[in-house]
Amino acid sequence: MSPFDWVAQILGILAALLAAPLFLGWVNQCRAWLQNKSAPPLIQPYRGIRKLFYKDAVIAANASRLFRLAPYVVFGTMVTAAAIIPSIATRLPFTKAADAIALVGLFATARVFVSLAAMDVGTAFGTLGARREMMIGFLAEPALLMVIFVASLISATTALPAISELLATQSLALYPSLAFTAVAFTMCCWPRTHASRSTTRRRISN
Amino acid sequence: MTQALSSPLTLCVLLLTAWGIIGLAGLVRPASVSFVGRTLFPLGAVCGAALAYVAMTGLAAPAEHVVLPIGLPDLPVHLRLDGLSAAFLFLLGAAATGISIFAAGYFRRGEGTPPGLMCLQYHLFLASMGFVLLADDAYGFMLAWETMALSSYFLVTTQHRIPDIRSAGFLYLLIAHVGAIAILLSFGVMQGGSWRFTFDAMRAAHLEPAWAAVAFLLALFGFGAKAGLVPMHVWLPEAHPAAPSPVSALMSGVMLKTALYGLLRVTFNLLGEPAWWWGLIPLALGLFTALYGVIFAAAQTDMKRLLAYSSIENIGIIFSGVGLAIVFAGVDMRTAASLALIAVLYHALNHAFMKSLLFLGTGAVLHATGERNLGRLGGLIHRMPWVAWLTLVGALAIAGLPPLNGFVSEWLLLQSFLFANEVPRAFVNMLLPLGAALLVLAAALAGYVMVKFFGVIFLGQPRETALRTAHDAGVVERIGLAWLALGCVLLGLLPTQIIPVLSRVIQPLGFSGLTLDDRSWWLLVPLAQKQTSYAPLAFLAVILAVVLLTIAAVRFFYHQRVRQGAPWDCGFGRLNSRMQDTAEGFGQPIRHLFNPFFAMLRELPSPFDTTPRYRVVIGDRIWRGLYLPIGALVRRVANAVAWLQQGRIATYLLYSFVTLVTLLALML
Repeated sequence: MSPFDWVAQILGILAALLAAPLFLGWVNQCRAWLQNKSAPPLIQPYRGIRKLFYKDAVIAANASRLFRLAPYVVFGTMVTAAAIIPSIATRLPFTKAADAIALVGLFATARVFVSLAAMDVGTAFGTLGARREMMIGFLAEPALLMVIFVASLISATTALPAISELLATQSLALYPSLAFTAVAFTMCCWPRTHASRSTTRRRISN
Repeated sequence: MTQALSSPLTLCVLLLTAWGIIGLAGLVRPASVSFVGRTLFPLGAVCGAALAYVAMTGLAAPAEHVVLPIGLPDLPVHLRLDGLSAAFLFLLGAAATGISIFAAGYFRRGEGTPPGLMCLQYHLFLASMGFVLLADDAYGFMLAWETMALSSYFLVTTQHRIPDIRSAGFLYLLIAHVGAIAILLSFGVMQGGSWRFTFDAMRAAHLEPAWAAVAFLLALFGFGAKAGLVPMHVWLPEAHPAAPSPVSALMSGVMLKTALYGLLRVTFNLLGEPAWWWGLIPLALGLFTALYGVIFAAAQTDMKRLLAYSSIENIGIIFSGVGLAIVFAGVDMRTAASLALIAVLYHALNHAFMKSLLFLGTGAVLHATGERNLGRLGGLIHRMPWVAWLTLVGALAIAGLPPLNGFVSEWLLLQSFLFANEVPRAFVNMLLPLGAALLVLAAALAGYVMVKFFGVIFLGQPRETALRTAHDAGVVERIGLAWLALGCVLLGLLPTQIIPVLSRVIQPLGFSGLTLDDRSWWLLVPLAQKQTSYAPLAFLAVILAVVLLTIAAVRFFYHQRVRQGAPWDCGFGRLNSRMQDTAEGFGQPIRHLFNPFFAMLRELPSPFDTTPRYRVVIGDRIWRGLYLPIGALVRRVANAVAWLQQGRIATYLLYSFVTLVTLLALML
């Protein structure tokens, strides 16, 4: 591991953190266009985050410590996920600590904590949101893992850098399965962002 | 043959005997809760810890035999301790330690049976499970197996004044014995004409492939009935919740694993080389069981029934791993078979800890509130923080979330599923990846079930006013829970230390085992050529570091204006705790998505009903479609045979006379 790899690792995490709201903005734009609405600007999520930094936090009177802890755990798992996924380099030091299955496990951890936090306050809407979040989760999670499994069966490994290196460097080969996989991946990402967004909204409104 | 007193086998036998003596000591003062609870159960826990330690030393040691001169004439009891027995004895000892510590506090009040008698049944149950694992002949095995079934039957029917519990106990006893007959027949086939029933003779016997398959199928049926494999699962959700919580923990956590031990012993040790196609049966049944169990768990409204169905799910995962190992071993894929079998053993160990932890957690809740119905619980994290946080560890572990232990074994199992496309059998290699998909679906649903379980019991607002006075578990009970939670965490964080041990355990069974890279003590690389790796310690360290950094950053940058307010009620103004989503609500999407699995009875009140009652009863299609017809058939046959019972002595004399004449005619 050269120092350059560590720099690349940290840069990768920072890039993912900074670009994540941009992606959310783009998904929101696409959704608005598909519904024949005029779309919010791409940087709207950044504005929302800035606004939230100035506002007071309100916590329900009967919230337990779990409610306070959950956002940190969710953020921690997401940063870890960003560290695992080889985005700007494949020789990252941390990618060894987890593979594709662990990545799906990380997403599941985040979702479980979001749902538990939503149930913690004990209003009618929070629990409904939690239930919905988990339902979308158990449908999307196997699909997501199967998507990764297709690539894993081709490259005989679940290590993400090895998969991406193999697929990037081998001579041109056509895998119809990968095309289907790409479609499936898009389909299972869509409800994920949608469901978590609506749940989050309900939680904030709680 | 004389054994050194310090050999692991002798020590194991002594410790199991000590359990028996502790049980008998309960009869000295059977009504004294303090004597039984404060003295005997802690002593039992000490024995359990010692047993776990001794078994750990026996894991690496070569196999030992001993012949005890007890039993029928010419039928002494053979005992043997090898790696496989030692691994399961470790499971028994370690789980029993935590459960016994908890029970020391739990049985304070005494349940239906006097505490001394309960103590006898409990420790007899523990000791018989130990002797099942040590037995080296069919006679000793069946003796211990039946003792285990009977002692647990009496534990299940502790509160025998409740009719439902009596019928649950009867169903359990019935299926246990149908299974035991199948196991006995399987041993009968395996002796292979030598008429010697020691396991050594069975190992030496060479069976025709067809007879070997018959023996395997009988063993699968018998042990599957004990483990709760669908369609022999019906007793499990009745019997496990009926028992007191420490007993439920023992039955789910440990007793189901003795069935797994029996199947592994028969398949890989007594039968020698299994044929590859045998594996497809436990694989298919296991995957179906996993899905079936978790779907029913999601629809339950009783917390202990929910956990019982979750046990069925985990047994399904374990049996699918066994099936995979048989398939791989049959087509001579040694590494893949080792990986699958290690995953099986690992998951068995994990499940012993997490399911015991969860059952004990429900026990603490039950004692504090007197409620098992999820619809009357809620908000207990405020009143019972210790139980809540320790149970959360178990819930996250059983949901298969990294970096806890449930994830490790499921990860290993999925890795072995990735070998499926190398199986040199057409269709099988195409269908096996679908098995991985089903496995992941079951694991993801387990997450749903655990959010429901933990969220409805511990989070939200108390659904009943009585819950506001609930008390946390006592210190002794907390220690028991913490022991099991610690096991969950350690098993999750130290796979690199545990897998080499399990690898040595399966080598005598004809597996190559896995060779891990010794240099990387923190990085788990099960298969060097696959480049796949997992490092739970680094994983946890990064998450913790990010969480702590974020907390520090928020402290530093954020203005810290945090207000407390009432949760927003949508302007309704009269929201109360009864308006939270219920356990039934959590089951609703499952009931819709997996409708064909359920036999549902719903009563929907009409809109004009002034006293509306909504009721839904969830039935098991297998119970109605398989067990009720069998029951009706048995009744019909019994009625037909009852015609013989005329109640007149002359008729019975006639029967004897006819029998004698027939016998004479046959002899001559």
